[in-house]
Amino acid sequence: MTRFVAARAGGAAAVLAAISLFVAFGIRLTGDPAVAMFEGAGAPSVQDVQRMHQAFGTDRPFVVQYGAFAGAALRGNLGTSFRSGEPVSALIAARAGATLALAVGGMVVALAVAFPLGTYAAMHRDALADFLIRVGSLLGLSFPNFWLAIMLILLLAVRVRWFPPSGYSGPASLVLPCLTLGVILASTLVRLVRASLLDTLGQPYIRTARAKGMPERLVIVRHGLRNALLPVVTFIGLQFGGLLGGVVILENVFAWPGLGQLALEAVSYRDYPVVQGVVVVLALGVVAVNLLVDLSYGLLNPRVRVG
Amino acid sequence: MEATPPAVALPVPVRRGPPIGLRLTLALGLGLVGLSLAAAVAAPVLAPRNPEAADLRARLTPPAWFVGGSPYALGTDAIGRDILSRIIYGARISLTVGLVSVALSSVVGTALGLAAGYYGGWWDEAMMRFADLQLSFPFILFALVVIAVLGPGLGRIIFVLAVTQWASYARLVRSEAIAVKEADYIQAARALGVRDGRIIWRHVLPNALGAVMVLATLSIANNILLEAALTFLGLGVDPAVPSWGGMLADARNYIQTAWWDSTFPGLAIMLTVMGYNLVGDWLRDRLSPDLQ
Repeated sequence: MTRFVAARAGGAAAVLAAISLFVAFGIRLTGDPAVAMFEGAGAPSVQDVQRMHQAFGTDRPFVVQYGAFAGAALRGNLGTSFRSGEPVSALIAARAGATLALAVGGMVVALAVAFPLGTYAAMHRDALADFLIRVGSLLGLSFPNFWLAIMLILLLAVRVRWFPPSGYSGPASLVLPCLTLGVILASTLVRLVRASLLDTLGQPYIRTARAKGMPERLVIVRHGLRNALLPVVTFIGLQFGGLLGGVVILENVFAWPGLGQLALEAVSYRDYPVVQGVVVVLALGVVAVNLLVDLSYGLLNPRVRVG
Repeated sequence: MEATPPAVALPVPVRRGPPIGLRLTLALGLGLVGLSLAAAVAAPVLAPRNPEAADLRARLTPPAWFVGGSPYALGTDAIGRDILSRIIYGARISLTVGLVSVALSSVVGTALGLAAGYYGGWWDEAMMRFADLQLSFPFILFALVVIAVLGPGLGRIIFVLAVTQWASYARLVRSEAIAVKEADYIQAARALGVRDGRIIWRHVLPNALGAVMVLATLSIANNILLEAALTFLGLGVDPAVPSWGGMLADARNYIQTAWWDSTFPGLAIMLTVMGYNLVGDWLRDRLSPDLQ
């Protein structure tokens, strides 16, 4: 087991290192932060640009720059923003809460929708309700998330003014973004819950439970759902990267003050330290969740541990 | 005298035929796919107007059926361009991205997966490590950096999608290849002196093709969504070209005044994506029910 944990953790660390290298290298190809700084303020002189580069440290070779970034990052220091001069970790800390609230809220909505509907569909297999739930989930899968967001804004914020259309101004602001994210996530989850539960209900121990006269509701909850949970939880963990994509775009639609917006802005300003910092922190989140799923799988199912 | 086995009625599960709904949904899916293909191929014939022609006097005109006397079936956008014509032309972008990116990633991924699964060894090990790395890289972060470097554009977005997705095909095909390579008929072929290339082409590939087709069809739907989202963020195709994601990006400032501007392009995306999803679902039921 120790070897298994070490191997998986090593793999996760390698992925993170590769991502940070890729981002640090890539962002330096996008344009000159010194020139971006002077945008709209007239053409900078050669000396001005040079002084900027010295101040940013961008006159040094890439290997030196990356080494400095990686070394400091390992000690928890992500550098300072070129644009605002603030520490990147402070910028991230200020925005992380909003992103987390959106992701968690979306997940809660998704689970609240997917479990009851998935269970109901599985219990009434091939009946009309099952068919409708499946069609509904397919419809949800086909919705562009940002368009669903726009439609919800149009209906619930513009037509009837129940919720603020964008920005963050109190708990009511959470409703539309979380609803959008949750509905899209639920579309995938509902099928998984249904399939997983159907799979479980075909097992002999379910027949035994029924045969001994256990009420159907208890059979479903105690034996069915509990065992159907594992693949669903795994899937949620592995979907984290995809969830991140949804979060970034929804933050944009809702002018949500989160990490996705921070990254998009930083890219357009060529603010290298902020881009590097945000991408590495987000990637760390995704990789860490994937690792946890992996490890818990190994814990629950010894066969996975080999290799 | 042989004892005849007692005739026991085994509880054979009743195999019900496909629910009527299933054939209906397939027909609907094929219809939607056909419609989007027709729009893309015959855009110049079908579009009532030039999708680029702006008419500032007619800006944000509502759809004809919403306000009488409007000559525009689905209304106009903020600089007076015909939304219906732009949607029809926009199908070209969405379908090009969806089909080309999937063609590239599936062919490359299948080839690499076949080689990895059939030959095994260090090549297999190296391929799969690389695939793991690719799959654990969050797509949106990869796209953000690559598009920031290369700049937006049709070719670049196809590149990003193809590069991030080959690994799914490689893994899928590899596992199918490993499952069949020790099968008797392949051993027999090998014993007869059939070359590896021919065995792979004639025996291994066909076994994997069903799963690849399912994944590919569903990926077309997914890639159309991803392209629209990236274009909406300004990280996709050139904003000057009519595309569904781009139309929605333009429309977001007029959401208070012109609902049609942000409704119809999104509807076009949704219906097209749904078409591929329906067909992909049907294929999955047919070809590889175990594929999640």
